[in-house]
Formats: sequence, C-alpha cells, structure tokens
Amino acid sequence: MKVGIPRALLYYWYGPAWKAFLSAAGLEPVVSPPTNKAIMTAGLKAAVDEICLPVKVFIGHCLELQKNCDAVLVPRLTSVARKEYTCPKFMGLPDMIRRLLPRTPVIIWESAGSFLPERIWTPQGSGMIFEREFLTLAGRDEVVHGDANGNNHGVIRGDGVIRRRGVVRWSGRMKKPLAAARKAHAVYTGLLRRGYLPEEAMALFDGQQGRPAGLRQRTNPQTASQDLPDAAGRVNPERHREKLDRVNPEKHGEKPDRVDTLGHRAKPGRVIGLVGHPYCLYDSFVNTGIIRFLQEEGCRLLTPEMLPEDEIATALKGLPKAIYWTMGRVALGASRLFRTHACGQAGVDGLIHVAAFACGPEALIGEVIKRECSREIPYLQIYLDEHTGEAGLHTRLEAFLDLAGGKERAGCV
Amino acid sequence: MRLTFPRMGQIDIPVQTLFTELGHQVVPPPPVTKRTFDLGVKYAPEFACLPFKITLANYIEAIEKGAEAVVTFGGAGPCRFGYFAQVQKRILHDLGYDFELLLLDPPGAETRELLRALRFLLGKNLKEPGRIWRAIRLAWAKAVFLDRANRLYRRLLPRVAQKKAAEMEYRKFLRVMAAENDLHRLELVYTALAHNLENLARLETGRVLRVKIVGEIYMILESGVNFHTENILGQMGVEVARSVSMTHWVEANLLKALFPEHRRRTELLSIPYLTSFVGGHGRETIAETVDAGTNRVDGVVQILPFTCMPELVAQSILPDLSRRFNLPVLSLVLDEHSGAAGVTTRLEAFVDLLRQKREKDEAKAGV
Repeated sequence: MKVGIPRALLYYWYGPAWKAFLSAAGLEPVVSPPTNKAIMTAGLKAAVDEICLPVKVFIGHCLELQKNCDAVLVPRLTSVARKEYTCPKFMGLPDMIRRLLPRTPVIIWESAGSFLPERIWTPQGSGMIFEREFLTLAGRDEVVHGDANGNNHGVIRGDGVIRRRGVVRWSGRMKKPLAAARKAHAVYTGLLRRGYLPEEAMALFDGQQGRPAGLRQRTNPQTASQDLPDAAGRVNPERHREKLDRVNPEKHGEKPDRVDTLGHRAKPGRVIGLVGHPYCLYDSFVNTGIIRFLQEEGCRLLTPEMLPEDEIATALKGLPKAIYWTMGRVALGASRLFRTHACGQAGVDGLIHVAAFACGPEALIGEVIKRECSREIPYLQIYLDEHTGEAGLHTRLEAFLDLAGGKERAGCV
Repeated sequence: MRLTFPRMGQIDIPVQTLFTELGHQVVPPPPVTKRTFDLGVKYAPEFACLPFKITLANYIEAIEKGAEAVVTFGGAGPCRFGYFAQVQKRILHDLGYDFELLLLDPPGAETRELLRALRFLLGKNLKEPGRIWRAIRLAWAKAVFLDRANRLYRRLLPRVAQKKAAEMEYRKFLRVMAAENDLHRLELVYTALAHNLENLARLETGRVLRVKIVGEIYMILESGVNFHTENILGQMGVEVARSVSMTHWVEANLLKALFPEHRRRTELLSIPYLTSFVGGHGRETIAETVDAGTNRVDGVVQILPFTCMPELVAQSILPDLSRRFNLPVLSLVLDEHSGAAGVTTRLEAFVDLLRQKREKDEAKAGV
C-alpha cells in the first residue's frame, strides 16, 4: 500500500523519519515530487486566500499525492519540543486537508512535546480509526498490547495507545517502526549538523549515487560514507573536527584554501547566514532557488539546521520570555550565533532572513531579529509569496551581496 | 505609578475600576481613532496582526498622557498574543518610550514575572485582603452588567424605531456605569437602561434576522477596529448574537478550572470538523458556527484580523459547515487598509442575501 508524504513544511526536518517509519510498518512511502508550478497552482486554488504560501504549497502536494497514493500522511506537529509549539496552522493541518481529499484517507501523525507521535490515527467520515486500523492498513491484523510473557501492560484507550503514569507506551507492534523513525531522525539530523543541506543529506541518507540536479559535487565520494553517523547516531569526531576547520581555515596558520560548502572556489570571505523556517529556506521553487543562487555567487552558507541544539539554547539565555515557537526560537538563536560565532566562524558577513508573507510567528520574531541586527551586520529580509519573481529577488540578493562584500573590503570583518 | 492597559471594547470600565479600587492611578488609553491606526501601522511590524498594532498604539497614546506602567496579559502560545508584550516593549524602548511592563502571564510560563506584577498591583493591600476582594467583586459585577446590557442592546436595537435614541441611552448607561462605584447600585443602573430601552417605540416587523458573530475576540469586542460591525447590523434591523464577551473570556481562560463547561461545549461542538485545539479562538469559531447552524441562526459573520493564524484554520473549514447547515458565512478579514465603506457595503450585501434566502425558505415551507 502506498502512503504519500508531502514534500512540504517540516518534511525538511522529519522526512527521513517518516519514510523510515512507514517502511518499517510495511507500507510503501511515496514522497511527492519537488514543488512545481502545477502543484503550487493546485494549492493556491484549494486554499483560503489569506493563508501563508507554505501551507498552500502543502495542500498542493497533498492534492498531487492523492492521484497515485492509497493514503496521505499528514503530520499534526502540535509541538516538537517541551513547552513549545510549531504553528497554529500546523495544528489544524489534518482538518484542513481531509476536507479536500474526499476519497483518500488521511493518516495523522500526531505529536506533542517531541516529534515522535503520541498517536497515529485517521479520521474517516464521522468516526475515527485508530492504531488498530492503521496496522490493518499496513497488512497486519492484530494489535498486541502486552509483552512476550503475556503480561498486560495497561489499559487500552480508545486512541490505541497505552498510557500508564502519563507515559505513552505503544503496543509491541508499533515499537519497530518507531525505533526506525527515531534512528533515521538521529542519522539525518547528524548529517544536517555536519553542514549538509537537506537535499544533499537526504540523497546521502538514501544512499543515492547520483547527486540531485543543481547541486554540485561537494564531498569526495570516498569520504562521504565516513560522514554518515554510526548506528547510534554518533558522528565521527575526527571528521567533524575536519569539517569545522574547513569552515574556519585560518586556524591552520597557513594560507587557507578557501573552499566553500560547495567545493568550488569562492571569492574570499563572504559567509552568509540564512535564517528562516526550513520550508522557506529549502523549497527551491518557493524561494526561487536562493540557496543555489548564493552558492553560484560563491558564498558559503550557514543555516540554522547546521547548529547544535544546545548552542542555540545558550545563545538565547537571558531572553525576557522564552519563545514558544520552535522555528522562531531556532531562527533567533541562529541569528545570534551567526552574528557572533558559529561553526568556528567569527561572525557572518551578512544575514538573510527568509520568511513567508503573512507568517504569524515570523512577524514578531523577524522584528526582534531585525532590531538586533540593525547597525551591526548587513541584514536582508525576504518575504515569499506566490508572486515572488526570480528576477526581482535575485536583483535584491545581488545588491545585498555587494553590501556584504563592501563591508569586508572596508576591513570591518 | 500611573497604570495603563490595552483597550478591548468596554474592558476599560471594569479594569479601571479594579485598579482604582486597589489604590492605583489609572490612565486608560484613549478610544481608537485614525491616529491610533496610524501610530500602530507606523511602528509595528508589517505582518503583525491588527490587535498587535492597535495595542501598541494604545500604549503610545497612554504614555503620552502620562502613563508609566503597562499592565497586560501574556500567554504560552501558540497564538501570537502571548508574545505581544515582549516585542512591543522592545519597539517602544527603541522609540524612546520608557515604561514599566507588568505582565500577567499564566502560571507555569513566567511565574516570577507574574509574581512581580501581582506584588506590584496588590502591594499596599496585601494586609487588607478585604479590600482586594471588594475591588475584584466590584469590577466583576461591572463586567457582568456590561455584558448583560450589551446583550440587551443587541437584541433591542433592531426592534426599536428610534435607533438614535437607543444608542444615546446605551452610551449614557456606559458613562454612568463607569462612574458608579457602589456595588449595590449597579443593578439599578442596569434596570434603568432596560426600562428605557423597553419603553422605546417598537417597529412593526416580522421575525427579525439573526446573525451570529464569531471570530477573534479582540476584533469582535473592540468596535473601533471592526468599524462598529454590530452597530451597523443593528441599524439594518439585524439582531446580533455572539458568545464571546469579557466575562466569557475570563471564565474560559483565567478561571477555566472553575468553568470547565465552556471548554467542554467547544470541544463537543467542534470535534467532527476540527479535531484539535489550534490556539486563540479558532476552535470556538468552529463550535459557535455549528451552534448557529443547529439553532436556526440566519447567518454567521466571522471577524478576523489579517494574518491571524487560528482563525485562518477556522476559515479554511467554514465552507464545509456552511454547506452542511445551509448557513451563509461571511468572513471579514480586517487590517489597517480596510475601510468603513467597504465593510458596510459587504454587510449590506450579506444581509440582502440573508433576507432573500429567508423569503425563499419560507415560500418553500409554505408550499
């Protein structure tokens, strides 16, 4: 049975985990193609006018998937960290989607407090089917709520999960897929932290030999496999050190061999920090290929996904009130780290904030980032909507790069 | 220290009473005017919602009038309201406005901040718990009577012939209510209003059209930003029903442990369409629309500020409800670019549609 995964929203964080989960559950995951004109147009038509572009794109991907899938996985990531939320729109996502897909069942991956699901279920008509039915979908017919010795682990609630002392326990059959998801996520995040962009990391993760179009060879194929974390999700510390040094070649004393993250020669110096929600940064159709453009201009890019969680937390200490949107918190923390030091680098030459037009949290967090950056480093705020044109955006980026480069020429960095 | 607070409908009356009774000087922000809009738009981030912009301007105008501290509520998400105060403080600080922020966050989020604000607000009275209790009781009684009067006014306005006279009566009531500080006389003030409104000449009409207003609480209650939608509808002879109000908000949010029925009602009504909480009043919007559909309300007007996240979720689902209950729904997305004429025209067209629909339905029922 084919289950579709929309290549939109937090797919760029959790895509590999979802894929691993579905495969381990005996289903066939199908990821929608990268966003294209047809997908976007379908989403625009089906969605409410005022909603942000990423959600419209997500709807487009779901509509695309229903054509050749038996079900679509729609995440309801209420929160992916304790005391934090993602976005109210993410919480209403399954309800927005299921009315648009009358014939295809929607499998809801419901998370609260961690990206791992609290329950997985699917609403059908007025009734709801739960874990039992999900496993039936996966080609299994029974759910065992006990251990191997036949001991019952607790009361089975209507939603199929066993709760005891507030801890969610899954029945035995769900344990394997969940473990697979957890492991895939650890490996994938490890790759992101090591400086791979999601597209590259996913390709590496899937073991694909061919590089995705538009990305140039940046790692030696022989050493690439060493970059992969081991089974426990640990990365090779030697390689990690090497990688950080590559970002900060001055440490070696000798004349640095300036090689940017792409592996081709860069004009010396311009390190650009990109902050924003992952679906704004990495969906190259929506943002008209900002990443590729900057790479071709010879910039080295730093993105929030390359930063370890604890450094972000440290950077945000002393905030009068903790930010309760995960992506907003990561963006502000990353912007602070990029300004001062990150990946062994003494501050970026410029910071670009990419946000979706009418994005709720970014309206406030963007304002804070803007106020913190102003008068410190060159800062560009880009709002994406369905009318964003490549020419206009690239002109702005070029002008910005001149500004960021000018700063270096003046010897400020 | 002179206190101020954000404006939301008639909330200034009970809040001012509460703080005055606790022995503070209060500088309420002036009513929303063109200048309020201009200030908010000028200094707030472009995509912040209208409530953010207007409350920011409220603070500026109040500080200009001499306020030294701002008392406001916080929250723990996911609606942006919970983070308003921090960003607004930063913006105002950069503009050179100096003030003390007293943030009433829900316990658990920023408990220390909450305690600091409470200690300041109650400070002098901690030795006199009776005084605190009296202040709260008086403010709460005022809020209850204000909500009751508002409900009465909304019901009678479409039915009376002299709408202007009714409006004058209501305004007078608000003035007297703001000034009255005797708990036992509040009911008299209310009865006087009821008496005066009931005595106005009635129009000879058939069944009055009923429209329910749902949506984001600030935009519904603050008539300065929704272009007096309720009043416009009332003048057109439409009765406006709504469930959100000051007292409802306090019961459903601050005292939710004491009033679990609000939450239960919302969940029960909304769950077939919206299976989870989405922040703000998104779920309430769905629940109240279901309620409107099952209780023969003629139409629903959803009021939301542009870029409001929870309401957008609700707006995405409302077409289904509209079809299911054969219930016309008008979504009014408002921001600083909306104009009174535009809103009035849309409301007029909507009411025309409702009238025609009812005639058609009645003709069908007659056959």
